[in-house]
Amino acid sequence: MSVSALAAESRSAPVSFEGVTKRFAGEVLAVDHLDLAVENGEMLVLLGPSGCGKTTSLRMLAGLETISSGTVRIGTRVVNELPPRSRDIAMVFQSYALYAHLSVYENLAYPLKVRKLAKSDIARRVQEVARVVQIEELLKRKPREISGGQRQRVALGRAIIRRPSVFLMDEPLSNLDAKLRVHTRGELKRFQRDLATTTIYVTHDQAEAMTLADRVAIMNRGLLQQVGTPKEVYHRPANMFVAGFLGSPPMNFLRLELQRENGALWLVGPSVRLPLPPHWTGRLPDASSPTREVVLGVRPEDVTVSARPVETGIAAEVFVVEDLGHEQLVNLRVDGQAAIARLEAGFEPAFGDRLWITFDPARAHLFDPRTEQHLV
Amino acid sequence: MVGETSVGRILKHAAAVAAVLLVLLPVYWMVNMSFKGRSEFTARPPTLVVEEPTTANYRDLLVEQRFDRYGRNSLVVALIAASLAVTIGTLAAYGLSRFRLPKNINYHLLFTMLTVRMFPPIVTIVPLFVYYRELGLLDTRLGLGLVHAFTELPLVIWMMIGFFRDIPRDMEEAALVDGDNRLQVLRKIAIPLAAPGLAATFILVFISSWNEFLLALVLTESNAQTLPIAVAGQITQYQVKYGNIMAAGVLTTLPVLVLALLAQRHLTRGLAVGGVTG
Repeated sequence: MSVSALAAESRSAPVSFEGVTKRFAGEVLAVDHLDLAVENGEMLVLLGPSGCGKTTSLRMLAGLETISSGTVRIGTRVVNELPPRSRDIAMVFQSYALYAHLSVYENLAYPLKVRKLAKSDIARRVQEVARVVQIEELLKRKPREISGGQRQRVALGRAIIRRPSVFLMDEPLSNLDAKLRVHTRGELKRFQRDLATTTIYVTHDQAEAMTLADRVAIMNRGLLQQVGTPKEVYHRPANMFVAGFLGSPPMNFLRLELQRENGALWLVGPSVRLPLPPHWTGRLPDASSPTREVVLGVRPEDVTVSARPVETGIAAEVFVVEDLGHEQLVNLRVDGQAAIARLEAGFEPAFGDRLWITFDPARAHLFDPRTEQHLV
Repeated sequence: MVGETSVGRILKHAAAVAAVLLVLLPVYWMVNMSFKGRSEFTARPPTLVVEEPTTANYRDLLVEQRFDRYGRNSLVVALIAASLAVTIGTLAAYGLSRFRLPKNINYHLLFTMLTVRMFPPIVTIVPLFVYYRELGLLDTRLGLGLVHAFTELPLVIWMMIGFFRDIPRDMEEAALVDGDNRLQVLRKIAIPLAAPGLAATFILVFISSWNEFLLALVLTESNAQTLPIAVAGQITQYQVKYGNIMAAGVLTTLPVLVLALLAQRHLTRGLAVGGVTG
């Protein structure tokens, strides 16, 4: 793939959302005071469940949705009142949104034709882009005559042909089958690297977010939850939502009590009694208060189990075992609460078995159950 | 069809054939009569198939009465009506389908428009006649075309809104991002995709104007008279020219029949499928 020719001419601009709010008629708050700075050339993934405001944010940036309050900037320009065509952006839609009545060639040429480029220039660039996205032999076909994966490539081609300063992508892979999705994901990452153009990518698929993003911005119910590199948001989640949303299966949460006894702090549940790891003690806010509720968070891959009682272990009962071949997911019950352990194949617990769970405290988290914020 | 007895199938087909015959019989009778001479169409019992075919009726209409004048009038009036109604109606429908006005005004506008079609046209005839006399539009093709366009406008708007709603929103938004303004989107995306609907709507308005009688009767006299009035004109003070009426009916129906066949083909939708997934 020779993207270099395109890359040489590509432009890019940073994007910023400053206190951006979207209120739909009927007072539905879709996006609530979004503050987000996207760096020049960066690939930022907006991640969240459906209805979290990620697509609305993207559409406000595109100019397809009005902004209720706040400021959106592309480069140094405030674009709040600019129509989409004046924002110097290109967008890939979930449905691809190819022009059904036009051929693939005309679809690719469309953004250039609108800008009144010379016919010869258009032809040259269409050929160039068609080569890059590998659809040269499809140029004469109509969108309905090509496959889903090919449509996706045309949509991508139509976006990159104009060398915009920002790419917007709204779940561009979600209509592809699983295998093609993984393949295209890799290619997309490569394109973005080579073009080095600021890209804002919306998805609800955390695997996509983790693999594609330079940084991930996680949203829920219109509120930005956390922004950081995939590693940061995975290993240092800001709150229980982020911790539970990332990872498959999600992080285990265990409601426990923090108790002070003989000057030491203990994590206590009906069948749990663990000393608070020493490196947490100092960092816990108001650790001096006598008793409080906390939520212990441990990822399934950080759980180890033992068939024999372990001193620092938590007693658990096997509820269901899901064997995936290369690994198995063991659903456990701890004091009536559900937990999942991801284990290598080989260890084969039976339903109803009693096991002892241990975990590496360095990889565990404590949350406040009321605010759901990360404590340590 | 699975599970259907042959008796049931025969009955169903027989019913369909009967229905078609019932509808086509008057048409056949019209064509049959139009070729009968004066002596044959008063014959008792009537001849089921014309025995001494003659083109005298057609000759009288086309040569003596210069029926082509009425044909031209009808054509011009219907073209004015269809072009105007479709142009204005398409713009209105696009606006109403794409922009949500506050306080549900979209809905109220659409409903109000329908009321135009709710009262019988004869109610408006007298004021229209007075207006037209003042404006000098009486007995002009433009005047009649305008009135027809106005009465068909609600139909156009309602039909076109349906066709526009079928166009995926993404496709138009992609064009907006790619550099178009709204009018360009309408011209380059929405209208090409709604073209079959547009053609069907055009033809429906055309046919309706072509056949309209009441307004044409009152608002035209000699210059702009249309075919339906000319057909009615075969009933004079002294005689009823049955042969002429039938021949005039055939001449009036033929162009519309051709158009209706075209409309039937255009009524198939589905051009918008393929640009988006699914």
